[in-house]
Formats: sequence, C-alpha cells, structure tokens
Amino acid sequence: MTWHASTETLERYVGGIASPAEAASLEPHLLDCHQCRESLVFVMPRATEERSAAILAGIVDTVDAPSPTFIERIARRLGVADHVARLLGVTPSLRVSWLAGIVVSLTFAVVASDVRGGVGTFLIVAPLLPVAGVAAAFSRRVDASAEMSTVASTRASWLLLIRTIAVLATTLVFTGVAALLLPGNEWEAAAWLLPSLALSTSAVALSTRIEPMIVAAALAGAWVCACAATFGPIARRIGAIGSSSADDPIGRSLLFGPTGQIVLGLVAAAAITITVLQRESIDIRSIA
Amino acid sequence: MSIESIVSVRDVRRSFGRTVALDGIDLDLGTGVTGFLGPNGAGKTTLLRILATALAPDSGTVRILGHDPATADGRYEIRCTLGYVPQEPGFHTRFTTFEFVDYIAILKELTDRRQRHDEVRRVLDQVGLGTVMHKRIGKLSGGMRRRVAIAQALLGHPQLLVLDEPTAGLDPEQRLRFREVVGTVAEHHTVVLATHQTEDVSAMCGRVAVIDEGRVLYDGTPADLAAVAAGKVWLADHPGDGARLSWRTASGRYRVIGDAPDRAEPAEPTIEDAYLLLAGERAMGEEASAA
Repeated sequence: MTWHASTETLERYVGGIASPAEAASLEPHLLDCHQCRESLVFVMPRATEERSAAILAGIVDTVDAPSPTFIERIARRLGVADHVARLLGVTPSLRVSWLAGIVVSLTFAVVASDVRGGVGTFLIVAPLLPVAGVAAAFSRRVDASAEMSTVASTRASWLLLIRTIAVLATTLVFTGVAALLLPGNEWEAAAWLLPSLALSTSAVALSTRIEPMIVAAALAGAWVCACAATFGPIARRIGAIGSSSADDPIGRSLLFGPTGQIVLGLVAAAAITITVLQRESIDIRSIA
Repeated sequence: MSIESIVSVRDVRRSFGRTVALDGIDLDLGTGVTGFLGPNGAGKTTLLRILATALAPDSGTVRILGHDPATADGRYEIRCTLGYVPQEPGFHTRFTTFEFVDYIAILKELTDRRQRHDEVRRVLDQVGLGTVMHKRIGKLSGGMRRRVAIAQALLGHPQLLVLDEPTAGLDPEQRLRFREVVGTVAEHHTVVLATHQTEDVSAMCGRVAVIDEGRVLYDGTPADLAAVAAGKVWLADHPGDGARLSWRTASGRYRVIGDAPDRAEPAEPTIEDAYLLLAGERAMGEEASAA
C-alpha cells in the first residue's frame, strides 16, 4: 500500500460531501487498507456529529424562514436574489391585494370602453395605476416602520430603483394584457404606454422632493383634466376637437396624437434624467 | 469612559415651525452609557433623532465615528454601525417577530440568508423573545413590541446604540434584562438613551446630561448630579414659603427642595432631587405621571 487517505478526505467522505470521483477512489482503497479503515472509525463520530448539527441547523432555519409572498416567489424564480425578493415582497403596491385592485380597475376600464365604444375610459385610467403604485411604494405614511428602516444602511435611492422597476413591470404587464382585450384592438389601445411612463417617472422624480401621496394626487388630477380638455364632451364644448360624431376624438387629441405622444416620451426621459441627477436628495429627503 | 470622542455635537439647533426644540447643544460622547434626562418636550427625542441620522439639524455640526451625517456617504457609514430604537417604533403588524427583524436585517445589508437568520435568532434570544419569534407582532403586548424594537437595534453589533425611552412599558424583570444587554454593549461601544426616569440613569448610565427647553443644563456623572442638590433638600412637617418644589412622602412628612422650612432636617440629595431642581415644575409633573 503506497498511500493513505488524509483525515480531511475521510471527513468529507463520512460527511457525504466528497466528490463522486473521490468516493469512487476511496472505497476500493478502504477495502484493502487496514490503517485507513481505522482512521475512518476515528473520524466517524466527529463527522457524524457535525453533519447532524448542520442538518438540524438547516431544519431550524427552514422552519424559521419567513414564508415568501406571491411576488417574492415569482421574483426568486426570475433569478432575483433572496434578500432583494424579500424587499420587493413587502412593498405595499406589490401585494396580491394591490395587484387584485389593478386587475379590477383595468377590468372596469375595459368594460366601460366596450360599453361606450372606443378606448377613452381605458386611456384615462391605465396611466394612473402605476402612479398610484409608485406612491404607495414610497410614501412614509404607508410604511409603519419608516423611522427604523430609514436609518438602516440600505440606500434609499437603490430601494427606489428596484421597487419602481418592479411596480412598473407588474402594472404595465397587466395593463398590456388588458389593452389586448379592448374592442377592435386598434393602435389607440397602445397609446396608454407613453402616458403611463411619463406620469409614473414624473411621480418618482417629484417624490425626491415632495411627499409621494401628494405628488400622485396632483398628477392624477392634472392627467384627468388634460384628458377632459383634449377629448370627450368637454373638449368638444371648448372646441379642442370637432363636434362630428364620426370624428376620431382620441386620434386627434393633443395627448394621444403623434405630437402628444412625442411630448409625453420626452417628459418620461426628462423625469428619468432628473431622478438620476437627484438620487442624492432621495437619501436626504428621508431625513428632511 | 473613553476620552476619545465618538459623537461630537457643536452648537446644534433645530426648530419645528416656531417651536425651538434644540437651542445650541454642545456634547462629546465616548464609550459607555450616556443618559439624556429631561421632561417631555425638552428636546431629547430631537437630539437622538439627529444622532440616529433620522433628522437633520437646522444648523451646527455633528460628527459620529468621524463621519458627517450631512453627507450621503457620511450617513451611510454611520448607518452601517448604528442601532436605533425610536420613541414610537411602528411595525408592520402582519409580520411575525422573526419576519420583522429579518426585514430590518436585510435593510441593514445582512444579505447572506443563513448568517442573517442566525443573527436574527441571536438578537431575539438576547431580548428574551426567542419563544415568540413566530407570533405576529399585532398580537404582542406593548412591552414585547418594545423588545422587538430593541432586538432590531442590536443587529450587527452596532458601535453606536441610540435608544429613545427604551424601558417604557417594560416590567421590572425585562428592565433588568435590558440593563444587562445595554451594559454588555457599552463595555466597548457607545450607548445614548433618553429617559425621564432617574432610576434608569442611576442603574445604567456612567454619564448623564439633563436637557430642558433645548439646552443642556447639566453634563457629568450621576453622582455629581446628585451633589448639585446638596444643601437644598430637606425633610419637614410643612413645605414652607421658600420651597421651589415639595411633595408629601409616605411617612407623611414633606420633602422640600429649595430654602429650608422651619424645623427642617437636611436630607441626603438624590439624582431625582437634582433633576427636579434643574428641570423644575415640568419635571415634577413628569415624575408624577410616570409614578
């Protein structure tokens, strides 16, 4: 016999963590080598004890581990790190109840559009949903433990980024599916996207300075007024669009025509730029 | 107490509208426990929130562990070594105790799952909540919730522990356990706590600052604080005309702070006497409500 297994190798073998090649090499050797069998008997109790302790610790940890939320499970399946998924899972506007609210709102908007003919109601409602989601994700008023979580070392700007992306992604996916269910499925049904981005990114940019709930209320009010002034009965009355029933009020409205869409796209780009430049003040706002 | 200054506060002022909460505070704190003693509205909470980087002062300078909380990088460095119990800690009541402390641990950047869970169990055991870690916070008593707040502050072995009224709602046994925990932390680190209970100060603090109306009225050891009232504390059958403060004791006689009444006997001054002498009537009301 020219060689003997090291203590570390035998411990790995007994502990069940030796590689298959190592185990395959060791087993025939143990049959022939009396000295290594004696060494194996020596390391076995210690290794078994350590393995039992590790297994017990694993069981305790599994029992103690918080049960993941619906969003948390999806995020983990998408490859998001365990702790980041947890931060997303506890965001108010990423809870199942909130998402159910989004679905109900979109269903209402789709049905209302179907009844009235055209996509007007949907185009008014859809951009407001991500704004509400962003506000609920960042308002200290809905975070009961804000005083303790604010002074933890995680940077508020990073938290803002990951939660905004998650809120926008989930809301926009739901809205996109709802848009496909709209009557006629015309190009107008896609006109919600840029207003949604413009309003939600503006909400984020303004929330670096102002309470998110106030920002959301102001933006929602401004959006509804803008819609009323550019299409529908009020717009007809003030002469913003033609009075003919055959007229295409949405396609001709300032908001959803080509010019309006370009402007809204620019607003979204400007809001993202401002947010990036103001990221320092996001952390400062938390202690203002 | 270490001479090295871990917390340095210079001419710090903070107002809320027309109310002046801090009116030029200067303090240097080293390792050990420092208690801020004062009546409600004295400015203790405002000062602690500034030390915990939860609030920015209007003016003045603050340095904590050599970092400036006015800058984002400075705040980050401070927060990496900070534990904080606010005066009114709020909770996500649907969380279990374990889930809540685990959530704060994630925010404190303890990203390794197994190590984080071990740390959560450690701090919950330390405050005696190991047996209720799977109970929803909404079903815990006020004293237990206070201990949850203390547990999250202990995560990661902070070098600076800022505690606002940490013993409020704790029963005597829990209070003893808390003092042990604070004593252990304070052997090598800095603990700052606000209280209006002189008992906490004498039991835990190596140093005490009496604060009222946004100013530091006294800064020194608890023993020296008691000496402030030397020659001004009396036991008498009547409060007399020269009493600044007086109250009837269990023996039926009056304890008088101020000028000696007729036939008065001098009494050994306590921290409480000195505190009442410094903070006056407002502190007297506070003690009565705490009793």
